[in-house]
Amino acid sequence: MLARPDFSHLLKRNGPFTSETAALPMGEHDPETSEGTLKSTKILVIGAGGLGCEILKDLAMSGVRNIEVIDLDTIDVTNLNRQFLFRQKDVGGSKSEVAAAFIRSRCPWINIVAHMGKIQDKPVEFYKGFDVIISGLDNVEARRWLNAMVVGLVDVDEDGDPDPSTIIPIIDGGTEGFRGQARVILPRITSCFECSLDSFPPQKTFPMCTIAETPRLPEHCISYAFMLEWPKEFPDKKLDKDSPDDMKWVYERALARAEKYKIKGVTYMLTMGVVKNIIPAVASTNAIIAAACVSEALKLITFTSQTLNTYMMYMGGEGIYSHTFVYEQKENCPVCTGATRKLTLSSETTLYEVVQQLINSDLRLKKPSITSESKTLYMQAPPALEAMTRPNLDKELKDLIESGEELSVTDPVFPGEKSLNLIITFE
Amino acid sequence: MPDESTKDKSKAEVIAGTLNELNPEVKGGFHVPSCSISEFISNAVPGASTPQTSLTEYIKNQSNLTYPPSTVPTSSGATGTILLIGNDLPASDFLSLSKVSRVLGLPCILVRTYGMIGSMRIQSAKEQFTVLQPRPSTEKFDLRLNSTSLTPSSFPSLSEFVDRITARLKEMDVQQHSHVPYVALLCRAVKQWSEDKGSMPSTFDDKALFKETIKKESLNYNDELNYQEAVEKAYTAYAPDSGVPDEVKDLLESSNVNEISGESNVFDILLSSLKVYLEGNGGMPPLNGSIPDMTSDTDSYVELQKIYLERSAKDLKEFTEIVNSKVKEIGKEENHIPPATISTFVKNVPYLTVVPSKSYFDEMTNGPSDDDKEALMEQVWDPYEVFEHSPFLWWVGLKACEMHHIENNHWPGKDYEKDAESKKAEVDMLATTMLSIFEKYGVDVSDMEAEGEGVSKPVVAKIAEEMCRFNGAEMHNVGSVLGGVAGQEAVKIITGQYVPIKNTYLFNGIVGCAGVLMG
Repeated sequence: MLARPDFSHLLKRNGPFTSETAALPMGEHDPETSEGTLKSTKILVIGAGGLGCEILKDLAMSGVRNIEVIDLDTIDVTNLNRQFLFRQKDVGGSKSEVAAAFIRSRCPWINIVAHMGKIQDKPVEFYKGFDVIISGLDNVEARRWLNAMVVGLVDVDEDGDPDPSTIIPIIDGGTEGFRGQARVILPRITSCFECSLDSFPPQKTFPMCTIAETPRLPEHCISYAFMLEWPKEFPDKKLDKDSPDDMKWVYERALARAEKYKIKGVTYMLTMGVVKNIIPAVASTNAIIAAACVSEALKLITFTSQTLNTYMMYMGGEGIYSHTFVYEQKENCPVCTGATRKLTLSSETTLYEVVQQLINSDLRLKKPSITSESKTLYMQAPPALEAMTRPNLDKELKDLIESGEELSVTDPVFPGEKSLNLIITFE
Repeated sequence: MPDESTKDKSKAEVIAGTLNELNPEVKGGFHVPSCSISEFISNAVPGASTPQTSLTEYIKNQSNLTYPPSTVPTSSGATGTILLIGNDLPASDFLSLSKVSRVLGLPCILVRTYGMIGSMRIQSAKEQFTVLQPRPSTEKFDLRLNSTSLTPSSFPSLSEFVDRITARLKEMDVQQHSHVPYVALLCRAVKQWSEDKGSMPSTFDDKALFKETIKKESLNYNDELNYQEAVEKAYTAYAPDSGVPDEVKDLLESSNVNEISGESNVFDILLSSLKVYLEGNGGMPPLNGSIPDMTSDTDSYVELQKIYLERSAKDLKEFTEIVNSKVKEIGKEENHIPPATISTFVKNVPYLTVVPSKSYFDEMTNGPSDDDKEALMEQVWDPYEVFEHSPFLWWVGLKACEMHHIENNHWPGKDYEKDAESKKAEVDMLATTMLSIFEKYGVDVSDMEAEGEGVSKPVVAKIAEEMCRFNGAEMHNVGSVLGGVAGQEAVKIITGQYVPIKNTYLFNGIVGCAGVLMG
């Protein structure tokens, strides 16, 4: 067969659909320099799991030379069927380190650095050093944190216009069974992850390692009984989800495990719900979404083509349904608009009730701490400060603040000093 | 992953080896024909049809492949299918592969990447895919509430359960009352209504009143989730129970189903048995036995599950007897269709799906039928952020490139760097081919760029220029997207689970949008 031209061929040719012609123009395509730009660019890959392995392979095969990868996990035997940079001998090793070593051995010209640990433990300076960040995370909380961190890196002038040189694009991928999504976040230009929080209902499926090693919820115990104990006990019999006998077996095993871990709440009903909703990771979906993400990264770096604007979803179960659309910025997004939240409450509302409202509202905070300009109202940490401010929780607002006073809220879902402005007006 | 040491080795050999590295259970083989791939696929080597020179002979002579493929699917719907996949072959080879696949009675997938554009064409073994286990994202539950309330003897165990549990409603404490399954509440309410009024609620007012009656029976409607569920699902009790989907009813009338013989495939035998079953059971299929999650105490729920499951087993038994007599009729052995297959079929009656599948060869040589044109017109108006990125337009662009390659044996855009004139000539030629395709598909192309949506010559020229720019370039990531998509479809075809696409998936990597083209 004839040799075909590759990516560098496109970099050398101009065309009618380069970046400057796009709905989201990011720069001008220059056939003279774009190959050099690709070689010098530095990309951070977050997550070295199912998506991460694909992303790293795709970057390596596309001519990117400088990559860093971060993941806190170690390799489990159940990862091997799809996380193809790992082999049996790697079980127990650091995902990011093993993945980096694999890429290094096959592509010695690539400069790849591995970080084992939590993204939340890396300082601001770390994130500032990249041209693009690609994330293949499996949970909402890490995405929120990363998003808030990178949005926070953008310098905004007095008119509210962002300094383009401080914008680091995030390309975020996610998969679940035959479904997946890829999106481009240009901080302060497009919608950010926080803008779309409502479309991510609290997580229902669980990573295998949680199920196997660190169950916390009754659902984890049920998943364990269903996914690991059943096949071990009945290697030749498929679980019939509609059989009360089979389901009772799973329920009883889950209950026994829950009792062992002192986890409350395993019921027959919950067992039914969990067993019917479990969505396995599908290798081909990871391939699709990872490649779509890397493709966007390359276009954002080289300007050789337009950009996904801003969200692509892929559903492969019934035929293929694919939909690409602009996810609009949320008007009062607490992360990317800097808007102040306004609440109107009775002056007799207790501070405890305000904290609960921040947790349960669309803001979905985890452990909010609140300060006013003059005093610390409630701090979740350190323990000494928490103990000192705890009595305020039972107090009513009228005894703590003035109506219309501006408050500042911090929370672990946002990095560091990042805070949310809150104004409570009394009814 | 191939590395330095694999240089100069056969690609097929290296890739087969790496498959095994990824998963030790994969039995990867390879074959390097003694002629060109084109000759191999089209069986074109004169007078010498051997496995070395002919795809047909190769398949027939493989001891580890079952050819012709089994007509008996496993319980999951799989037939041990041989699937032919063609990747980035010259356009003329795609035509040959499509043709030979239909002759052999095997499904095939044709995958093409072209610059930022990728396409995947799938083709079934015969004229359609029949999907035994579509696994839809939303379940349809067959609860028989309407028929049971009208004719208790049609489902005595459910009727008895409803009477027994609802008779105790007044004695229950708050906790028990709020955990009576809604199925029982609804069944009783609709039975009461039909006894009082002699008919089912049919007018808007009747239906509202019916729901109001249920609400009134709750102790505290806002706290009783089971009553809320009953109101929400009220229509399932007063509307007639759904039989089989219309799509399946159409199938039951086809000649394949009405005239079964020893040559019939299993799916058709099962459908002809279903037809007999429906005639003997007032149009209702065997019950599949699955019930939804609902607010309930564990004991009641488990009992309800048992009731539906036992009934389903009874129906399955009756259905199996019909199947066995059909099998005998056509002179096959008793276990021709294994019990597990029959059971899977019954579980999936509400979901059975048929996907028509035209051959790629037919599409390229005979062009579109009126139905194809109609299906495509809907694609043209498929809303995307920017009209010029609609997958349909790029599908036409890619088709034009295929035609260019068949005629010239190279991709358009070869002379792009030579000079402005050569470049323009190439772009114009491709645009002309695109216009002829639009004409064939009955799509009007305006001279000037129109307001809003509509195909215009300037848009066609832009797409032709971009396709020339790509010049058949191979982009790793487009290949990886299409590899993943083709992998998903291959798994669907092989297992008979989930629903394959109809005809073509087209990925536009310029803006990351995609669509399925059914024409």
